[in-house]
Amino acid sequence: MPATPSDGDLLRLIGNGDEAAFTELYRRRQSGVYRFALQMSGSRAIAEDITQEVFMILMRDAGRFDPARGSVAAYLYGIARNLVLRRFERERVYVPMTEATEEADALATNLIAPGDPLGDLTRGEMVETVRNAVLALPAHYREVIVLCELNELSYADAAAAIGCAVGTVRSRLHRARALLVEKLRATNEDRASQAISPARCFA
Amino acid sequence: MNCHSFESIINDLARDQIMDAEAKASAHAHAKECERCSARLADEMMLTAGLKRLAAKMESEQAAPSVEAALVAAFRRRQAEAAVTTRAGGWLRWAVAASIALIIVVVALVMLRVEKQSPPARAKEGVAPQSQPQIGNQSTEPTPENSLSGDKQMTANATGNQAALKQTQRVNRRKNETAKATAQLNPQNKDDALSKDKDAMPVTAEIATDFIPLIQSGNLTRMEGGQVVRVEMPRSALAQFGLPINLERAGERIKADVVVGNDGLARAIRFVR
Repeated sequence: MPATPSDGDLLRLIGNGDEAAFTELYRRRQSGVYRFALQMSGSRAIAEDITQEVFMILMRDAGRFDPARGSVAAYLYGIARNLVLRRFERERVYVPMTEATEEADALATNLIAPGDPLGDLTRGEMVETVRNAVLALPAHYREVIVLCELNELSYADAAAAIGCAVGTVRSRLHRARALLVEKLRATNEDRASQAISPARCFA
Repeated sequence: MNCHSFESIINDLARDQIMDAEAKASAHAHAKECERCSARLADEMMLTAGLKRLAAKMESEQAAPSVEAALVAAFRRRQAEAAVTTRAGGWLRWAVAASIALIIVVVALVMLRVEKQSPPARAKEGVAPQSQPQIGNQSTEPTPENSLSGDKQMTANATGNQAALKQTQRVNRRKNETAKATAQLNPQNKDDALSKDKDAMPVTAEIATDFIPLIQSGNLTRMEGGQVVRVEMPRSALAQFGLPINLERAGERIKADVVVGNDGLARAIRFVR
């Protein structure tokens, strides 16, 4: 076995009850799964639940992974996606773009890096706007943005995770990006109109 | 390049994906000429920048350490359960195998014993012995192994044979008597009854009178069949049929056979000593 075992090697070891392999694979892949669940749901609590469930399923069904159908990462994202969508159906957790929860506010605050106040504020506002725009997308568009843009999966891996053709991923990504552009433009126009409103009052 | 083909590659262009260098140069040239496509590319690049910034900001996001601890604990618990199941499964397999082997040995021993104790009288007389244990169909089928052969087996089962023989004789005697009584009451059946009587084994230790008709009416229908019923009655009843009575024993009871037809009527009687 090579010095750094592949994900597939670790999966085989997990199937044989190797705890070290399980820990290694978890540490290697948990952040991606967690981020995917967080970006899809907008909730840390849900993201942690999903992450835990994904790896519980992995330890139970490690032998069901088929390398011919995609990478281990795509396999894990696929499990996470199914769990997230099931969660949406069960709890109907939708995070509207205009109604920021306390948790979303805290998340946005954490995403703003310290430094130049004006620059950071502008960058932070943009990041928050993009995040809300992504969360407002329909789920089937949101997932391709999260997978291909935010987690940098290839079209093939995204297709394996979603369970569709690569062409479908490309077309959905194209449409999702167009929707995001529209939303961001609309948001910028709203801000611009709010910024000039007081001037009109004093005129 | 026209606007339509520019739109088809704008995502790859904005995301800086690997693409054909010639197509990339052609697209940039079109964007410089077309104001609409230029604005469209600017929007897409702004979106790409925003998404990259969001991805970069969220790169440090990861599950809490408690999730890993819970998962590792679950993994250990699962492995322990699997080990217990494996051990229990192995023990269970051995237990089942031992049980099956034991059952096979017991069945084989019982079959051997049954074959050794197979009664000779059963095949000869067609009467199944009452005390014979029956296991499966083998012991009840008349096979060469369990049929009669030799004096030794006959001696061993002599007691059972005698009992069966006595029972058969009693049954035959009753049948003959019924036929005889029927013949007396129905003269046209007399020959048949007598012929049957000749065939019957006259094994009797009793002395009996002839059957005496109890009904003299000519209107009675022919007796199609019936039974002989053994009864006891006072000796004084002999006088009613004109038979002599020993006065010293007049208080005793006497046995009698009553012929009862299928219609329930008593047809004849005889007295037995």
